[in-house]
Amino acid sequence: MEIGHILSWVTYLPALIAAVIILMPRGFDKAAKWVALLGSSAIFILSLHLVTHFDASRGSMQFEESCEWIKTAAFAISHHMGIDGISLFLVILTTFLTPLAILCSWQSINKRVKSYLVCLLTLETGMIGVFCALDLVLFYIFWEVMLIPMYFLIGVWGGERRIYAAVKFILYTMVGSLLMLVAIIYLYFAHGGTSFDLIEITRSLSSGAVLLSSREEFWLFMAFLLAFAIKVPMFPFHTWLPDAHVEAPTAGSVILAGVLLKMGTYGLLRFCLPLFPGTAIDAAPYISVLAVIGIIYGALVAMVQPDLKKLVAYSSVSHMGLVVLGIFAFNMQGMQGATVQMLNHGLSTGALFLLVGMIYDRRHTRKIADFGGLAHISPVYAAAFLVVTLSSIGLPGLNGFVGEVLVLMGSFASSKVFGSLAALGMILGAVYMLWMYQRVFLGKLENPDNSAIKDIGIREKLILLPIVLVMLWIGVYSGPFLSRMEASIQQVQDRIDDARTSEEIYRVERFRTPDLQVNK
Amino acid sequence: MGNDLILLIPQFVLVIAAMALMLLEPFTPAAHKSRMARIAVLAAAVAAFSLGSQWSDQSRTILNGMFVVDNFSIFFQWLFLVILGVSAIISMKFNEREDINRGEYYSLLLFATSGMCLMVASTDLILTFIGIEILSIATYVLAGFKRNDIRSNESSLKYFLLGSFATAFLLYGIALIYGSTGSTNYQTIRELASMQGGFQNTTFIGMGLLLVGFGFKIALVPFHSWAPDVYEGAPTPVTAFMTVGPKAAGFAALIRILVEAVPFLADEWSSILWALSILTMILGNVVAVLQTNVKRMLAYSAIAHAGYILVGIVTNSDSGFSAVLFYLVIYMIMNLIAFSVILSISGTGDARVHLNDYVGMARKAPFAAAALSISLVSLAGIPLTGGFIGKFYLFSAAIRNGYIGLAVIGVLSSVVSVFYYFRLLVYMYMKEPDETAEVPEPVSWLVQVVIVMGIIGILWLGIFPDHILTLADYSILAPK
Repeated sequence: MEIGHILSWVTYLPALIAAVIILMPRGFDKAAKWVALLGSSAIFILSLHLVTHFDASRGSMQFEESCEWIKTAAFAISHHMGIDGISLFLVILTTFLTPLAILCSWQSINKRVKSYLVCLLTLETGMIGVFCALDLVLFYIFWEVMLIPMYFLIGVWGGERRIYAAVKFILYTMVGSLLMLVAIIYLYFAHGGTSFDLIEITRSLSSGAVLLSSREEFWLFMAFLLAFAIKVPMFPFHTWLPDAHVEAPTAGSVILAGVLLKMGTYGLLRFCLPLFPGTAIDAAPYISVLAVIGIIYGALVAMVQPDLKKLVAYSSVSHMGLVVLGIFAFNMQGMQGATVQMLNHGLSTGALFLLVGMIYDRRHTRKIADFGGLAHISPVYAAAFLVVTLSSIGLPGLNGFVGEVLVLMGSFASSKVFGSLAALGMILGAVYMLWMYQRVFLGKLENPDNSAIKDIGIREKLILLPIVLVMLWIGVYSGPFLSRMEASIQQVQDRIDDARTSEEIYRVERFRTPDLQVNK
Repeated sequence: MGNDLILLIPQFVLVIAAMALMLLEPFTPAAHKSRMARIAVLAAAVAAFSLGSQWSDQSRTILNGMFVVDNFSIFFQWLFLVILGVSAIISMKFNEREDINRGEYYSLLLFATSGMCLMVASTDLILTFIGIEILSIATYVLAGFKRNDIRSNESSLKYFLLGSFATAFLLYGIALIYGSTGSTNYQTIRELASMQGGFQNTTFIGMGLLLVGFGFKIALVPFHSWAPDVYEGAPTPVTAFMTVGPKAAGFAALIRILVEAVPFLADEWSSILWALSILTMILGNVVAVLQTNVKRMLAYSAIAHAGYILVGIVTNSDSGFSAVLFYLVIYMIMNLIAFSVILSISGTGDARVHLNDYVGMARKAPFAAAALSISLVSLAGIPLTGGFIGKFYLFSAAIRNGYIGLAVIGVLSSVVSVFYYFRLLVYMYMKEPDETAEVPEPVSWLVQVVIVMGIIGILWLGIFPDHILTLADYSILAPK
């Protein structure tokens, strides 16, 4: 049975639960936590409906729904939602991680609990909305609205330098996204001022009904790219990330690494490539260079970090570089690998932040030097950490392997140099992760402060177990995941190929639309 | 003639109420001065109601072509009456607290509003000038109404001196335009000028001087230097009134002059305003970052917003003017809410207007903090608030008409504004209060009602803006 308006339900239910929590009287913190946990778990179960009813043979949008939202003489903004194989698992990832994020803050968050839960839940609405929105303005609205709860999560419940991190986070993202807004509006008028609908605009661009001059296409592409590159974050726009990660509370880091960063790479796949394939092809070598720099630089910096959270943060820079490289390889393996890798990175880095949060709750430090030999006193914790570490470095049999191999194959096919450098980055990844593991868990238990550490309890096992299971599932049997992505990625691929051939055949200067004159 | 009088009822209501308040003042015991505010609110309501019956598709000109009743003027007069009502309501408690609870205050508010109404309905430079003067003289006095407070005195004097200076420019501009075209009536100026072939040096200089005069009144950079001091020193409800009312009236009158009187100079005024707009957006936002006094910060923010609004005028298009109208509505709501909260928090004699006084406000006064946050988020232009739709509308008008650079500068300067608006959120929500800090007195229930309605308005305009957008579309003056 199909549930009508399923995407709207999945998107707005978290906000609805947040509203319920706001209305709860003072002092009901425990109850609020239960409401949030059960509610978000229910949303996760509801979202599984999307997977089971997803038609893997279709590359187009599914579960589509559309209604007019703002309609005036000048504007037609519609509430158009839909998902395809690219966004499907990102939505699931979001609904999957949110209950875990709530569960992991069960004990560590004790001040302003209700506001905290409201932030997490509205954040969930924003993130799912970003992945579902097919109207450019709707997309932009979710993209921006989501910043506010994240800003508060970092700024109110974060660490010592939380305010600095929160402000840096919001300013960085705003610069990119506001320029993207200008590009969105420009695209709307270039398209004749009739629709902000992504599908329609893509169709008229690909059929040649609307032609952009190469200069226009270049600037529009750059505006979108900047917004996404900051979010990913691509080198050299990554500097907000370590600060935000280190200062955010555990749940904030999990969501940030798990989902928020994916919004950047998702945007590249969903908007940059289909809308402006010509410029994307031209820009691919430069972007790939930045991606490779990100991979290697991120790995090298991660290696020397004394702080666990910072190490994981820089490893994100490295891993997301790999995703970008895969996307700009412009072949099936590369893009499919990138999409899987988004999922994998969400799981493994999310899990790493959860694990770091657990040890921080116990010892109130994250310095690698403070630990050592933890495997002796907390074996379950050490084992879980090992699984996640191995997943992160791409051990065969775990999820990371699938994505990394695909991306490497893809990028190797398009450029041997980038492919080899990326492979080098993977080796470095193994070095810093295993070295960190060794320093924290192996050897003798030397620091007396650590001897009192308790192993993880039921609640924490409950958080980690589902993640580890999914990691194994993707690692052993990735078929169900890959097959659902394939058709949609093929569409992006076709769009790129079309542009490539037409570019080669004509190579003519395209004309700008006549009704849009530039004065200044 | 009888018809003329009917169309003038809203003006009569305001002026008669203002004079009645003057007369009643000596006979009202000190304890009951807030009745004066109620009369002012009532007058605003009656005037707004009688305006409603005038709404129609055609414009009617009365008083020998000096005064026009069209949707544009009605739209703005409604705006002014709302501003009047809200300013009167938020003044009640404030004036008691500051011990300036006098009837003349409300009388002056009414006079100022009637001046603004004249400005938007006037189609003659002389009447426009009279409207501006009625407005200005009333606000000079209002700015100095806390007569025992030296900052309020400074505010009043500064406003008076620089305002008179601006008036001189305005008059000189009017004289030059009259000299070169032979009329002060907008329509006649347009027609005569087109017979003479359009551009003339004297008309151009006259228009330039008019722009300088209006630039002063609506605080455009580089004519803004009075604004921060005046806004900071004036009693807070008066500041709230001044940042929205006279500003909107100035914009409205300016649009009418530019569109109806000197459309043949469109290329010239559009280029001049283009430059002023960029300067105003950048300087307003950048200097606001440096402020630590919240009132002063909002003063610079008000300057920056004038820059955004100018973007719409620069485009000289239907979409641009409609965006200006919409933006003025949402700008009015968010600014009035922000000032209502600030005056409630600030305490007697503006004791708490420094950023540091806002530390931990989320704990001490959760309602006030939340309300201020929503209006600040809207001022910053974050989606789901009316501020976003307003900016979206303005900048898309710019992009549509080819002013891409202006739009890019606009959005980048609003990133700067995010910094200072959100800094207040940082102080209210993210810094831990020390226990000794005193809790501000609770917001009075009437002001609470205003604030709640304003917040509903901000969110409503952010999520379902269709109605007001369409209303704005109907109310514009079509470029001639």
